[in-house]
Amino acid sequence: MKEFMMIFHGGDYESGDLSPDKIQEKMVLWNKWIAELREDDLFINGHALKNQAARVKGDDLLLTDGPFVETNELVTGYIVLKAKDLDHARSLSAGYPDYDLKGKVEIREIQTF
Amino acid sequence: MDTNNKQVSSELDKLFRQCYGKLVSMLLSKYGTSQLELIENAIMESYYKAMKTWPFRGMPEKSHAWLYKTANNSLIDSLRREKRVSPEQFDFTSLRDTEIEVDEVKDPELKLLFLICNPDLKKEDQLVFMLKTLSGFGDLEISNALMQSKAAIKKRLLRAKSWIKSNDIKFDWPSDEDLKVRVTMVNRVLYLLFNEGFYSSHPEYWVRKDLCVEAMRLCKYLVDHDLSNYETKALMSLMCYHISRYESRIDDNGHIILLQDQDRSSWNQDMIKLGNYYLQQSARNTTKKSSYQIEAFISAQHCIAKDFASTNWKILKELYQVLYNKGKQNIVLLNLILVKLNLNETKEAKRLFESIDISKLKSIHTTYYMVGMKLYESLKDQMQIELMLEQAIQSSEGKKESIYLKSKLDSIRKG
Repeated sequence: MKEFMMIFHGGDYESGDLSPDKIQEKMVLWNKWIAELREDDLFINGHALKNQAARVKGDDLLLTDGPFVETNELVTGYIVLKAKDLDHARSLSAGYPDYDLKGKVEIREIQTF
Repeated sequence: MDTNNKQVSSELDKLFRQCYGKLVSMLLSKYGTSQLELIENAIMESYYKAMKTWPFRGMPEKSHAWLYKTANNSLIDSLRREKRVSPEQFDFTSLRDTEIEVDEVKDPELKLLFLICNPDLKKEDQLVFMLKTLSGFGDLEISNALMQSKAAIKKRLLRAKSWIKSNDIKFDWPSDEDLKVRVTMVNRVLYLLFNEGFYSSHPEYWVRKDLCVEAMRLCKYLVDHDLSNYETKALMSLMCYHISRYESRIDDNGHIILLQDQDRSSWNQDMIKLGNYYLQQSARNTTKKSSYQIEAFISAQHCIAKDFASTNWKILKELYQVLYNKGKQNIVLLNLILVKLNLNETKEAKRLFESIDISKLKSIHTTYYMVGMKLYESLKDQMQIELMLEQAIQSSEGKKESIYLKSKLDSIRKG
């Protein structure tokens, strides 16, 4: 088994016009997806990220406040999980619930030594 | 851990929507109606936060309290940002152990219900405002459910909110005398809400049933509270009878099934019993008969009949006649005509049908033509039957009935 990171771009709820019921539907799908990964012992960890951001640059540690990209490109969260290979990881990303909100999943294998 | 997550999904069923009105009313009691806008934002924020953390960390044990606390904190933040209050004004210690029990919450929720059902607000605005703040429906859901544009919904909400602001409406109970009048108002809005869900033939089936369930939830709150009057109990009874056959009216493809063809064994007997119970309650300590009570009696007649043929049409005729004399509503008259047809009083039925002014039918054209079709079926007037059907189809475009009507016309034409 290898380790992968799934980075979620976009699929930002707060800019959408979601009702309490819709949010709930989404949450159920998230729960289901993560629970399935846990059940197969593939889930390692993950978090959602806030939109606010800061970026530090250069020797003088210059701090700039974000967000730095369009909301649909913004990294909104990530999970780390186990998968056999990239194809397997890709098949696991099918459960990601926010494709309909124009969310995208970037899959990266974690470099090991 | 897995069980925790599975549990989350099942417990979550409708949690966010059901919580919404409770949270709004609790925060309103705490911060006052002038903060309504910020309160709504804060609740949505707590929902987003829940959805971003619960899947990864598991659901908190007391999800209601978690949502309340989070919303409350975010509200304090935004109040601070707007400098509307100084932080010292808040007693943070009191928030730490907030636990919400459903019973505690009923009171502010009812208070909000009475605030909304104010005679100064238009009935339609009340309904939209209620669905948004008390029932946690989104704008789009309200727009779908009531078949009004999203812009219209927004306008109604704006009107309600600016009414609160400009009149400085406080989050208080109305005075004792006002309360009596207000209960009638609340009854009427709940009746309207229920009927929206029950009678309108909207293609999106689930949204509609949600309206009925919501009306019943609020009505139940009300009857459990000593504020309600005998009309409220009759209304509750009426809703129980109706909802008992909600599913049997629609087939697997979402097409409408007429009363005579419905599978009576599928009617929910528990709901019918509950209907009986509230009907009895409504007759206690009063001899007055409300329209709700008569309607409940009518519905009860259908519920106790073994099959369509053994329906007691004679009693129904009397009940509809009383109901018609109360409000002179065309929809009641159309029902009365159907009853007369079942009693073979065809001549009288025809006279009544012809007395109806089509220009005053409003939204019940389809029903009118369907009744007309029944009438001419009894008179065996083939040409008129087809004419009525065609008109019915024309008036039901985009609604559930239209499919049923078209297939009916096809079968008639085929002979």
